[in-house]
Amino acid sequence: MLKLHEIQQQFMQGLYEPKAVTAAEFIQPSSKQSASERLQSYRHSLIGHLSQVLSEIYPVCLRLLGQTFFERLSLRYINEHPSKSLNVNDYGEQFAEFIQAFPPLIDYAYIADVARLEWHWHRAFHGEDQAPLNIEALNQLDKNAIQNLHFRLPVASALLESNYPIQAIWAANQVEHSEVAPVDLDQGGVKLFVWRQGLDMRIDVLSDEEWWFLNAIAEDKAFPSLCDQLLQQHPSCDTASLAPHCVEQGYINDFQLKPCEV
Amino acid sequence: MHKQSLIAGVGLGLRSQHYSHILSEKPAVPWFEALVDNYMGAGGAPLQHLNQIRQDYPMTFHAVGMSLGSSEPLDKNYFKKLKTLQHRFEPAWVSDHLSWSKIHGQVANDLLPMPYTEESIQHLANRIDQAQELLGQRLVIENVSSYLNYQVDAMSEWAFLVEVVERADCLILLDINNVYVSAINHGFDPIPYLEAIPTERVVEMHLAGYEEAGEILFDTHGQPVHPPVWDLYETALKRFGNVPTLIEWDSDIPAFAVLAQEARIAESYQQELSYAQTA
Ligand SMILES: [Fe+2]
Repeated sequence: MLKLHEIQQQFMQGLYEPKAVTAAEFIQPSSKQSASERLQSYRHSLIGHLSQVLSEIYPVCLRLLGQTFFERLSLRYINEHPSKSLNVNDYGEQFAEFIQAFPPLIDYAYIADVARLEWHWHRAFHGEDQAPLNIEALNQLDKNAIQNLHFRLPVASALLESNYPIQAIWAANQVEHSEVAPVDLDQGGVKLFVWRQGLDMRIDVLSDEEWWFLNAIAEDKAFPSLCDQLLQQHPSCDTASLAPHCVEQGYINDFQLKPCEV
Repeated sequence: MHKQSLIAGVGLGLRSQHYSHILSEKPAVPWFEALVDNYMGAGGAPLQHLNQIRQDYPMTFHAVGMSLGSSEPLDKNYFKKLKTLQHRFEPAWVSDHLSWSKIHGQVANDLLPMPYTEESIQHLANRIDQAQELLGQRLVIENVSSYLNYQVDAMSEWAFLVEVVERADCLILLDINNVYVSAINHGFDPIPYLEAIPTERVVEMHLAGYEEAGEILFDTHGQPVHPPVWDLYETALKRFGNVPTLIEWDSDIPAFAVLAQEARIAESYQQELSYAQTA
């Protein structure tokens, strides 16, 4: 007699890779259905559920690709990327990489970037709540302390660069627009900050200086060395106003004082 | 916050589509059941809404991710998140299903049925025990609808359910729609099923709509409750009394008023029973 773990192992394999198992070895047929048809019902329901999850996380990709293509793409993705988390909201993380490597979409590189944007949006939506920056405490720092100052970006945020105007594509393809306004793919790339301010979801287009500055913060560079390097990279940059500007925008959410590493 | 004793009458499954209606209109609903897995993110709007709604309504938690039947250790990370939410929102109780969904790192985010064997009973009883220990609260276990039997099955679904809950000493969420769906799919009479369930353990019932595909019924929760399920509900009320009952709707979610209408029908069944008992 098969043990519980043997049955579960075969069942799971049968859900994601139906040809790999003989359903009749562990499932009874009924008068209405064979053992493999019964297993197939469960596979069908699982794929339906995971496809639904993907379409909710990636509505713009769905709109760009159309329902039929998106469903076929989802099916391929699900077969290659079985769910790993008991919480289905964790599903779909590798979808952008999958799109990027999917041969029929090789000439549509912007779609993978749109998928990255939608994943970051999904993560920021569910990301950690944080109190706003304590500006008073920041203003009270003395000169010595500033040597050791490290800024922090909001936890619910991501920096994303694309060679395509994905922010415009995203905005033009929101479900509330019944007609899709054309977006010129040749208008150039964007540098984006995807984040949540309180409960408001934001996709901000960054200047080169802001992009460099926020990335340096994300890499945990101390403020003074960050300013030096920024001036080398962007000699015309107004470093004195960039930090206050990012504070004002809410991009800087917190700070820490860490003694310099020697 | 409202306490456990206030879970009574006909509640509704809380769905994000209805947050703004609930918060602005404060409809007269005795309690809401939250799908707790949807609030396991670190923060953001879902938790904020749940928090606001919890201020005004008693609440129960319904989980789908404990995977109590899996033949491997409980997922500690899942229980940690669940416990955090349990502390914050103080639900009257937490329920999950007599099913499994994970093995060797792979997950089917679905409610897969258990083989009805002594090995499964022992395993589930141990795991429910552990879960109750982790949550510091008695667990409420729901029967699932199923679309297959295993070769190793050695007893009926209801004999299995009763044995598990007796050994684990847990409570029961009896899903009337699931009983009906399984009865049709497996060709058994649902009445002996209801008669086998120990009345004192049933703390909640679920009602939902199934869907027909060929000769099989699927538990899709995307339609109103079907007439034969209402009939079975009436029979169940006579046996178990006016147990708190919940309307579940998970796909093609309609306007709040449609759910409220389903709740009114369920209430009318409960009232009828009350009249019959006092007459
Ligand atoms: Fe249910």
